[in-house]
Order: sequence, then structure tokens, then C-alpha cells
Amino acid sequence: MKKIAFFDLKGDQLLIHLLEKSGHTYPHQETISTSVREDTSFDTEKTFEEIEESYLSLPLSLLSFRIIEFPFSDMERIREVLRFELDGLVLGGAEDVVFDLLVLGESDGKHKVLVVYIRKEKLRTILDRLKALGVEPRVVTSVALASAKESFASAEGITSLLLNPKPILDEDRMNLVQEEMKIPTVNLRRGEFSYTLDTEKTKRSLKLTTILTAILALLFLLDMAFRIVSTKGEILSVKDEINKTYLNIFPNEKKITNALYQMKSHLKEIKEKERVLMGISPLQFLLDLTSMSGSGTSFTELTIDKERIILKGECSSLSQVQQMKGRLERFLTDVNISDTKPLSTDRTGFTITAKGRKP
Amino acid sequence: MDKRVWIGAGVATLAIFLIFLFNLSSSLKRDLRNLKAQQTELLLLRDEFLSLKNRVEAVERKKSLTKVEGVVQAVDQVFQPLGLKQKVKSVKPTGRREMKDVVEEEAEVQIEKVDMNEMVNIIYKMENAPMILTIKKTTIKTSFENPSHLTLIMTITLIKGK
Repeated sequence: MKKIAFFDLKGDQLLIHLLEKSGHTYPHQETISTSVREDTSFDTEKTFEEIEESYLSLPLSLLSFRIIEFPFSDMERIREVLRFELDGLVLGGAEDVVFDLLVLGESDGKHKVLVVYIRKEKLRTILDRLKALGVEPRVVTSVALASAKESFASAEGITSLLLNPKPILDEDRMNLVQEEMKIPTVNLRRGEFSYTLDTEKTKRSLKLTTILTAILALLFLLDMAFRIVSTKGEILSVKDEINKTYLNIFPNEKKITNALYQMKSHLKEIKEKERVLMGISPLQFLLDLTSMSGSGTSFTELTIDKERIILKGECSSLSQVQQMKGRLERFLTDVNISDTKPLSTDRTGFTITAKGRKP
Repeated sequence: MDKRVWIGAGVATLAIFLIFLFNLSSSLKRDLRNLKAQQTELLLLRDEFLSLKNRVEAVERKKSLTKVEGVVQAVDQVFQPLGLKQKVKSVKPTGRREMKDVVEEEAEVQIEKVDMNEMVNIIYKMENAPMILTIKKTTIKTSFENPSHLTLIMTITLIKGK
């Protein structure tokens, strides 16, 4: 849970409300009270190292107010115009103050705006004191102003409320503190006092991310370069091995452009030679046939050539023909019974074909 | 120029360089994979080639052993030592083919009324003749009158030098 400190300046007292953020609620933990000297300095034994977020509320006595009417309600435009308006209204000019505004209402097409401002010097002193404690308030608002805003009925009403503020009960004050953390009535952290801690944090983390990304990219680059070099080396080594293998078989060949292609060409050549020179081996076939033929089977005609083998014969039954086919399949490929017919001698004639010997 | 533009340009250059390297690396890996596949195929082809080469060379060595004029004389030389010349019914030369540095002569030989033992001797002699005599086709039939008598029809080729 996020630890939050709300520095609430209240006359000669500084109330430090410690809260914890839990979802959208801010449960109150404790409030530390310390006295504030005339020069707004204060002492506290409390350390704020674990505080992750802080807010500051100023008393009405430190703030100045002006009510100005504008014929438009666009806040950004009002802010721009107000800078020049304040030059004539504030002693020392608008440059010496930091301001925020609050729209009070509209009547007769005119928008009444409450301008809240504080001398820069004064705000700087307070913020520097807090900074010395390690506290950087996200928002500078005013709980007393928020209370006055809640109770005013008209522009005139708020003027009297600001001049003679009503005391705020502790319970109401705590509620206002919590409301101000959600939506502050005004925020005087503007211009040179802008809250930049988050932006700086983001910048720092962005910088870190950039550096880490650069390191990662560099590592990736190095890894890639290493891979490229090693793959190139491996390619050369494999090419060398291929050439060596080829040269072992064909030592007289000087030019090797594509060893595999050249090898295929040589193989084709030798296969052609083999086809011309090598015939069939009928004796080997007869030997195989003798080793597998069962009793009761006799062959009447055998035709053997390179592409086809035809066996004709007779045996005692059709099942014997089937058994014969099974036995032939042990050493021949694509064995088929192409014909069977009963013979007059109570035997069965058969014709079996096969493609060739198994390799 | 704006610092951000320089950083952007640097990042873009680095990214392009990384993509280039990545592509180069992928392409080299693909080449290596292809080469390894080629190497494996080459080794298989080498074994097949060497086996075929040995067989062919063994046959080719027989070329110089005996000088014969033609396939008919070759048949005569095979049958003479067996004493089975009278069983040769016919020798019909069926073709002649000239190749690169050899001539292939083909003939159909028909032998009748041989027993199993004689047939084996004939085929053995043919297969082991001191010349390049190859059997391309064989038909063995039993005789109708006497099943122990066989008719042997062989298509043989003689390879001889030009």
C-alpha cells in the first residue's frame, strides 16, 4: 500500500496526516502535530523516507485572493489573460506570484473567477523546508479554501468566508484532506513550481530503458556477428569436406563447381554402363527357388529378365499357390498371382509374376 | 540538428543494420543446412557409385581375356568344352549396337532336351565365360513328352572392343 503524507499548515500549527492509499480510499493512520514559527519554519522528529506521495495545504493567512469577472469561461484563456490582469492588481506584478483560479459562477453572461495566489518567495521557502525533509508535495492546495468553497452561496458570501473563516472540525478537516487528495480545489504547483518528480522518474526510467535496450542491441549484434562468423567457418569446412570426398573418388578432376551434381552425372553414366554390361543371374534365381519351394509344387516354365519374372507350374491346391506367393515374396518384389486354373489331373495350374529380386 | 532527430536516426540505422545481420545470418544458416543435406546425399551416392564401379570393373576386366569375333563364336566357345553342341537347336543373332568404344552383339540361343544338370552347367559357363557375355533373358520350359527334359531359350549379349 502507498504511504501518503498530507502536510496541513493551520495557523501556527502543522498537522502531518499520515495515510495509506488502498484502492480509491485513503485510510487515515495517524496525525502528527508540530508548531510552526513565524517564519513558517518547524521541527519534526519524524522521518519521511518511506513516504511515497505527499501533499501540502496552506492556510488562508498565507494566500491572497481576487475576484475578477470574465466574459468567457475557458480556463486556459482565463489563465492567459489573468497574467496581464494581475500585473495591475498585484504589487510587484504577476511575475512575483504563483496563482490558480476557481470559477465561482456566472451572472449576466459574466463569469466570476476567484484568483488564489501566493508570493513565490513565500511558497519557495515552505517547499524548500519540506524538501530538506525529503518531501516533494505533488499538490499545493488549501483545505481552508476547500471548506470555504463548500459553504459559500455567492461571490460575496465567499469573500466574507475568506475574510472571517469558520473553524473546521477535526472530522470535517480529515474528510476535506481526503477530498483534496482526489480533486484539489486549487493547485499552486504551477510554472517554475511544477511538480516534476514523476516526470523525472519517468525520464530516469526511460533513460535506463534506453541504456538497457542499447546494451541488449549490442549483445544481440555481437551474438549475431559471432553466429555469422562461425556459420561462415562451418560452411567453408563442409564445402571442403564435400570437395575432399569427391576428389577421393575422382582424383583427376580438377574443376569442382557442384560436387553433388557432378557425382549424380557420374552415377548416371555408370548406371548406364552397368545396364549394358550386367545381365541377369538365372543360377542365383534357381538357387533361391530351390531353397523355398515346397513339396508337391512343380514348375513348368520360368522366364527371367531384368524387368520381370514369370513362373508357371502346378501344385495340389489353391492354398499351396497362395503359400508359394508368400514364400516368393521373401526374395522377390511385387509378387502377384496372375492366373490359376484347375487341371484334369486334380491339380491346380498357376502363373505367378514378380518384378525382380529384392536388393 | 535536433538531438532527438540524431537519436532517431541512430536507432533507425541500428535497427536496419540488425535486420540486415539477422537476414544474413538466416541466409547463411539456410546455406549451411542445404550444404549438410548435400553432403549426406553425396556420401550415399558415393557408396552406390563405388559399389557399381566395382561390379562394372569386375566385368570389364574380362574384356581382355579372350578374343572372339562375334556372338556366334562366343556361344561356340561356351558349348564346346561342355560337349553339348548337338543340343543347341539354334543361335540367332538379333542385333548389333555400337556404343562409345564397344560393340554390343545380341543373339537368341535355343537349347533343347537338356537335363537339369546340363542346364546348370550351361548357365554357369555363360555367367563365368572369359569374355563379357551377359544373359539378358532366360526361359526354361519342361518338355511335354518328358518333363525331365528342359528347353532353354536365352537372349545373350557379347560386349567387345571396337
